[in-house]
Amino acid sequence: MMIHKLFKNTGKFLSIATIALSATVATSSAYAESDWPTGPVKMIMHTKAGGSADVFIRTLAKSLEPQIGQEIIVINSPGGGGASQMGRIRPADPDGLTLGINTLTHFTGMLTNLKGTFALDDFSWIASTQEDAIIFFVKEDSDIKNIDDLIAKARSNNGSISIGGFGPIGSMQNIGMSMLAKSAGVDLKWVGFNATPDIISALLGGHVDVGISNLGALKSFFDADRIKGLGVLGEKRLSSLPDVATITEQGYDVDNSWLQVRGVFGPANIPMETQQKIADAFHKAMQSDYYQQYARAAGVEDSLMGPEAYTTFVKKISKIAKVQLEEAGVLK
Amino acid sequence: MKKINDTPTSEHQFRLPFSVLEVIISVAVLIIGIFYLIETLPLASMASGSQVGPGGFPLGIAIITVTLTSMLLISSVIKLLKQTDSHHVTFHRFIYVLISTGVIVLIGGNLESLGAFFSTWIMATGIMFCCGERGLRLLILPPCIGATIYVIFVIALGVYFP
Amino acid sequence: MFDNLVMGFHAFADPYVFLGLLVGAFLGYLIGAIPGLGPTLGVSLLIPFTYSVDPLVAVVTLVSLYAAAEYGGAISAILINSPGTAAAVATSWDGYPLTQKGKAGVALNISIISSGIGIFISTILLFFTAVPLSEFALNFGPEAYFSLALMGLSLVSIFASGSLIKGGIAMMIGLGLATIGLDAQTGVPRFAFNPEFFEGLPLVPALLGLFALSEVLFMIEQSRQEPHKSSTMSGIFVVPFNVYYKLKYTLLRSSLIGYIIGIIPGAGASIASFLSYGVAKRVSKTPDEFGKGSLEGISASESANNAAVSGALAPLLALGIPGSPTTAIIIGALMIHGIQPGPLLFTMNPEVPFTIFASLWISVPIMVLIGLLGAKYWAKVADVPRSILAAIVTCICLMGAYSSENSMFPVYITIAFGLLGYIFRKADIPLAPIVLALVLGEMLETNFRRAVVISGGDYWVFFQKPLSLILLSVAIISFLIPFVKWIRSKI
Repeated sequence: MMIHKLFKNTGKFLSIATIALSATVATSSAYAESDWPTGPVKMIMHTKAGGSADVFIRTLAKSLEPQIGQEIIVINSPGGGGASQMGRIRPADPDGLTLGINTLTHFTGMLTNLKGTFALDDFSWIASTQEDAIIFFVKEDSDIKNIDDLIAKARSNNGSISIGGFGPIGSMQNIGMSMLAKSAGVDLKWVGFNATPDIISALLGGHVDVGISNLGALKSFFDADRIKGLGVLGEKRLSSLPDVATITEQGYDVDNSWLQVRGVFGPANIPMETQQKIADAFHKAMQSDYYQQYARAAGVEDSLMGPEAYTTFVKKISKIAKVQLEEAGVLK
Repeated sequence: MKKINDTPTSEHQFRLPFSVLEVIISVAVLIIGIFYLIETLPLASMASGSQVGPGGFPLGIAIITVTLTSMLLISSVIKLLKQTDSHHVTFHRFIYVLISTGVIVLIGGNLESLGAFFSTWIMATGIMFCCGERGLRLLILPPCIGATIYVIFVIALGVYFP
Repeated sequence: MFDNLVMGFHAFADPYVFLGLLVGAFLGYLIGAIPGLGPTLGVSLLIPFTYSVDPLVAVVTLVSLYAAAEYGGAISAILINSPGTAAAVATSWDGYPLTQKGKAGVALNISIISSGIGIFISTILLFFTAVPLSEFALNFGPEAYFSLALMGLSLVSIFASGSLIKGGIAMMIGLGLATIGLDAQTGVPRFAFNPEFFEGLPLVPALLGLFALSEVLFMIEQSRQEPHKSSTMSGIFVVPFNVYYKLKYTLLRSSLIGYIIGIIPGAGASIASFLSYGVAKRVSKTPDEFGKGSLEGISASESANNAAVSGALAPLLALGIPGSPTTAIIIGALMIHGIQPGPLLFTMNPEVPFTIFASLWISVPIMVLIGLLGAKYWAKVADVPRSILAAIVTCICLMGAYSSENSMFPVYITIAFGLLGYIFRKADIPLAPIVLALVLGEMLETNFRRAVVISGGDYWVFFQKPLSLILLSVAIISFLIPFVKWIRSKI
């Protein structure tokens, strides 16, 4: 069985190689019509192979490939905070055969370090696929039980509560923390980490007081009762953590549309008809049992915005980000 | 069987007093160090309150680098003036080293546009030529190397070339 | 616990599990031996192949590939001075000189057997201590990571031979290069002139340039002299048993160091091999041999970097926290198969950790056999005419750099570091401190700043926590040694 599998995949690689040679011919003929797809679809990733976005697309590709009857070639193009990925997608033909996966970081990046290099209008924002709310959490034996405790403690100790999260000041999770801090009128200390597991080990070791992360990486620690949730930044409670109240429920005014999203995008000017087809295909593939099993294990929620809704969402979230980054002093 | 170019080695040699090389390198590192220091200054002013900002570490690195390189520069200049050190550094076959560097920069720098097969073919030919290879092997082996590399990287590992 | 282990071994009654182990071992050796393609890339390339097989087959294949790639990494380091990962750099310091002396076979044998012993000993430790030690490793806060990084950096004083000033300059260049990119705490770009530099200099391409590409230029210089013919190997066991017996303390010590450093998330195989090499040199009766072809050096580095594989698996299995980039990808692979690594793995899916323990032990004889059988032929690489070798090394390095990110940026880095390495070697500026600083620079800085943020600007925090204090004292003493020696030599 294994051997069979190996041969099958060698064949696949061979066909990729031949396709790559004739790629230019194939794409130019596909440009005339707006139906999608008429050739292998290149998915350009901003992460290295094995990252969470990469696992997502490779899992989804398993259901998507037989459904659209085309090969999906995943190309990892990490580096530059998404710049090398976007640099490959922008000049591609708008035929829907070159696509990428984006996260919220793409929007904050375009407002900060990549400002002037890339803009929202350089791309078509085709569909949203996943959303992931952020959670404030503490060690199981912590004396902080909810957001009120956290704020009270921060107030009495005058800003000595440390919050560990992903990325530098101005990152998605840091903005989440700033929203809470601003709404409560306290100071919280941001300790940036480069990887989510590092946040969890720092929290379990008692080196930071509170952690912020998306549910995906935390699920097994909730299951093992090693951590407990303080609050969710989002419209409603999470289906897998019904006991953890949202921050709004706990009486703090935060912007609940500040969610981690993972969506599909491509170069600008992809015909609307094609965009709709791509969105439908992705959303249909997401209904497969195989994908659903992965998504539930990974603790992400499905998101099913089509091209119009997603483009509107992208513009809105980008505006929120701009305001937040200005307040954080990252943008002047 | 082996056809190796038979010109005398001495023609290609390039000898330099060791201290001169040290002076050249320390001046180069010093210039880069000062440039690094200048780039650091705007970062250092961003320090937030009592904590170390983005410029703290680079500033320390820049200062130590500049100090150490200056020390190396001074000691090499002294050695050079006193002429106590008769130690030489020899660049053997330096013309060929230069040519091959050119090949690596030119072909390696265009690896993506030339593709795996052609770039390795040309590069292998260049390097083998610089190693003194002249005969039939120079014509036959490089395309074989190119083909092997193509099979391993592009076909087996699925490395993507645009 | 032991009946679970029996269950783990029993999994190998399934021929597919065993086949997975073999496939992983072969591919791992191959990928490890090609410069630029490390275990991380190998595991991620293999993941799609494991989608539709049984989860146990998948995990065994991936773990055996991970371990085999560390065995294989030594091959290119020894034969062509091209360490494909930072963890094999220390191996090349003694392995390549042996190859130049015509003893490539000996070097390969020592490295393969040491790797096997490293895995074997560390898996015993893993079996008994995975959970308690992983919990203990959580005590490493930012201040302890800073002190650990500083201790690692202090090894420069052991590695760098020759001028103190040149060693210092090399270290500073490495630290300076490590600051390139977006600042981890504030997100400000530092010395990044275009977005490609945002995520910092890629390490592997830099290593390929410093060691392999610069070696090509040296090969061109010396191409008129005939290389040493390597002595032909009669059997697969060219190294007599008593050689290993003499290395017993080195092997034990290095496996222990490798395992412990491997457990600490974020430290990993490269720091383990450097540290174990440094300690071996410090306690050796013949420290002058190090760097010239010391068997102790090879076995110290290789047993440690393989032991670090088991070490890195400990926090993964016990807590679901990856100890290295490769184990992070293995977590992703397990999740695709519906297995959630985390604190409950031992209770919910005991077959996974115990099959991994069994597979690590079963893999030892297989890996060693593949290695030793192969070594006979690989050693012949040393007999390939220099001109052809130089051409092949150049092509593989640049292609390896390209394929690490599917882009030209790492290729430029390799070329630039190749020229830098050539000139520095000519000027007797040691490369070891540059590598050490590149590996540790970011860890040093971000953890220093994290610790100071947490303590609210109190710099004494590094001396107040016992773990940090111990590491810091070792670091300071070891930095002072060369100065004391220098002052003594002046008196």
